[in-house]
Amino acid sequence: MRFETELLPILPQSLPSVRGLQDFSRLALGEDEVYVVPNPALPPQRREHLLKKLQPALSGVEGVAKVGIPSGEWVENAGVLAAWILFNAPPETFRQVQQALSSESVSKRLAEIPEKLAGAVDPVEVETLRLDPLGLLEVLESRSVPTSAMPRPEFLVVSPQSPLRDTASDSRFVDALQAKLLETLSVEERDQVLLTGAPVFNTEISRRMRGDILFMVGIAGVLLSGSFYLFYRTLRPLGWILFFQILAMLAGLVAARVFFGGLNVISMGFASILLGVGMDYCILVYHHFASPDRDNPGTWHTLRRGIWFSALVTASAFFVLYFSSFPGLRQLAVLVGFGLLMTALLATWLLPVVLQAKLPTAPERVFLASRSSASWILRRRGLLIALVLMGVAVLVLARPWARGAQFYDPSMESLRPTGSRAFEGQEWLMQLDPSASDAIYILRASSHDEIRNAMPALAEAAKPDQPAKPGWSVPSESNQSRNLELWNDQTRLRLEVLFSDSGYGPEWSGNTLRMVEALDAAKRGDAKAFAPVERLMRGMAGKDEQGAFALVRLPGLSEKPVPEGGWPASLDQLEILPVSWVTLAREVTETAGKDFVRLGLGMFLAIVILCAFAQRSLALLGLNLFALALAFSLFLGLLLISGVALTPLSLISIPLLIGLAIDYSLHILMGLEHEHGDLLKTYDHLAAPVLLTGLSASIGFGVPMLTSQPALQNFGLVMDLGVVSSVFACLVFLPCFYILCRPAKRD
Amino acid sequence: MRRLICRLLILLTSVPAIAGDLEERFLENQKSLESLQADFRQIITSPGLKQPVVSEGRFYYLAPDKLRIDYTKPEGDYFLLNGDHFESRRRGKAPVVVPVNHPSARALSSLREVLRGTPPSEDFQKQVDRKEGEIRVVLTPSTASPAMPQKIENRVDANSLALLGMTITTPNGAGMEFLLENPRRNQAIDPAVFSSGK
Repeated sequence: MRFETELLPILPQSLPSVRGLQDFSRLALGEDEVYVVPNPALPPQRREHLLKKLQPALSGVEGVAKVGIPSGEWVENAGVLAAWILFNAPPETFRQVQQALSSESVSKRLAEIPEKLAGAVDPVEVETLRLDPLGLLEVLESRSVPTSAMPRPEFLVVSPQSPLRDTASDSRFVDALQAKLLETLSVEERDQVLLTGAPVFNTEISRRMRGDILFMVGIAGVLLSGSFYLFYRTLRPLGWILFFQILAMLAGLVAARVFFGGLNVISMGFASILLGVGMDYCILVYHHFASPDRDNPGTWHTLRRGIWFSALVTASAFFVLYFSSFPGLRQLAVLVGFGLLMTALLATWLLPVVLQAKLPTAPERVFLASRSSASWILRRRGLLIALVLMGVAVLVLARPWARGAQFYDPSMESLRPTGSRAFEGQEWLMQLDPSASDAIYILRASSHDEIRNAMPALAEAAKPDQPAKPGWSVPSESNQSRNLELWNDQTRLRLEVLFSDSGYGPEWSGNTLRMVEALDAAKRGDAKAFAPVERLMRGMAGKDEQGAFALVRLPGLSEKPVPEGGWPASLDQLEILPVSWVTLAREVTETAGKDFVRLGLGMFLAIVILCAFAQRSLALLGLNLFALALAFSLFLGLLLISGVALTPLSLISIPLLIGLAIDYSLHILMGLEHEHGDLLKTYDHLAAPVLLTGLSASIGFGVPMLTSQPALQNFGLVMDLGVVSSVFACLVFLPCFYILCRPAKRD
Repeated sequence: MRRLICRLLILLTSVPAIAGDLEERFLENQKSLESLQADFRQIITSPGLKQPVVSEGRFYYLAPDKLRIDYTKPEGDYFLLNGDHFESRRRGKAPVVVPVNHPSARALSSLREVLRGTPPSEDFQKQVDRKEGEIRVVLTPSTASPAMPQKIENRVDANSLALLGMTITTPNGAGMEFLLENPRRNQAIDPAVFSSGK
């Protein structure tokens, strides 16, 4: 079974920001690289010290190909990098650089160097002059090239010798690095360095997921068994029920393997949800066979019909989620829906066979408690109705729906993993990034020239009042061919003589000569001309199966990467994928809102049709819908009191609550109809099972709250509040209104 | 032979004590420094650069936090360190002001700390030796780093304990040497010398 460990695969794959973040992770960060990040709160010297200590130690770990400092590679290859920039520069710029490389210009420039080094000279300037004595960077109008005098991004990148193909190889690689880290660092230093990157996330989350699944199933099993035993004081039927539940769960896992090939962070919650919701049917069947009325074939017929109808409604509610834009929920929907139908089959087919072999008897106090509850409701139904009316009045006056923000938290923070060392490491990495305020985009088009040409328009659209400078890292196919035609491949020898004659050694001429060598090699058609920077440029620009792409940064726009009203039509030929959690939150919120309306309406219509078909009574249909409205009013009230806010994922799960609320109301209404409105008799059959099924559903949905996945925690809590509201509305208030609406039937 | 070994042992064990005593005396001496004027020479060397680049000027220090170098060769350049601000001007260009923790201010800021009598940071290892009437204090970072100098060498007159010069060597081997000649200690300096923009 494969575990999908990341958040992005459970979000809609059509969203530009989801694709942008995924592409960024794949292209720029790499899928196999592990980042070793020191605590940004430490002084720079201390961070340097830790990294210097770790770099040689990690290089010796088995399976490690290279441990590098990213900026170190830029500095080492500054000459080749300058050649690459020049190679792709507009021909006018290329001509200017060639002019700057003429013998006269070079001699003049070299003669000026002592003057530049005299007087109030800045050490950074001295270093820049040494790296670029001919001042070519000024001509290129490039972004500042990293020099050793400038602050370095302080982290290490560890690359494996061979690609990490699966979670097992990720774990082996990360564990070896972690062991070396512990061996190399002192006890107090260990908390100051974290590992992050895709392999670390995969390792950490897959281990947590395995632990979480076992933990959830274990806790749910114990709580459900405890509740069942508390009600019925019997173990043998409980053993059979758990056995059938395990069979249903295995069926769900087989479905996961066949349909999806694995589980993701949302669908892993299916086990406990299935256990909780599926237990309902088994409890209803057990209660029937443990009650004095078990020999009445009519009652069994009504119950079996009710169970199948209820399973269909609940499974439909889950299947409706299949039409959600969120792949994570689609998996959950199919797994739970499939598992529920399997449980209904086992509960109505095999469980009666087992129970009839040794007929159980429910404790008398269960029936006594049910009857006294029914009597209590009957005596106080006026008060209960008044309470409902008052509650409705309070809701109407308070108008909580007008304060949508209170109920909904669109930020992605609530979905990100907490307590994760890999995630904390990623946050440290972002803090150490000197360009953390940049907006980052992956731009896609058929050629790099198209991307390059669209850059000024993109910068202007992003910030019309002060457009940012287009990035230099976008190649240009047309410039490359034109520039090579202009290049004289005898430049290196001439420059070497000029530097030497003017009294400058290789420390001063090195970068310029390496740049010229790379251009000479390109002119000769050498495919390896820019090899030293290929790995560095891999994440900046390139071509893949979808065409040309480039990673572009616009300074200072990280908080608002996409303009109000979207991108102008002039950029239609460009696919703009923002690498931004801000945009992701906005896009996911929009999609979740649309899904909520679409799925909610779909579910509501399905419920109306199913109820009308099953009950063939307008009054009963109305009572079902009334119970639904009541359950949602209570749910709203509970959200208000508890201060729990829905996330995009739990918002889309609301249609599921529609199905669950109707499930309970159907049981009660069908029971009341069967008993001709006699609440005492109905409660004999249904009060204990409905209460216990509500409890088991709450346990099933609630147990994921104890896991380490925030997405599941919020989902579980919201669903629990919904289940509690539904059970309370259907068990306490619905009978009062039934008696009010159908007195004739009752008499 | 035994006596020789004993003398050597005494000499070796007393070196740190002498170094510690010298440092203490130097720091004390600097704390009594209220102002300093001197002729100034700056020598820049770099691997691969055949001829060092020499600049000249006038040096002013007014305790506790004002320091200025007026260049006469080339004329028109200056450095001014005043409190938390660092100002520099190159001939033909407008003055540039940056905070004192900016990398450009690092060298002058180190010089000011020495003049103030601030003990070296614990991030550096010290080595003291005496040669031809001069005491040399060489500071090397405990952890080599591209963001730190390879070493800082302070030269002090062994008799007067006056600072003669400071050489900062960058990680790639380039050197920036500041020499203070004909120093005049604790003599009045016109405060206008430390005015910004002049």
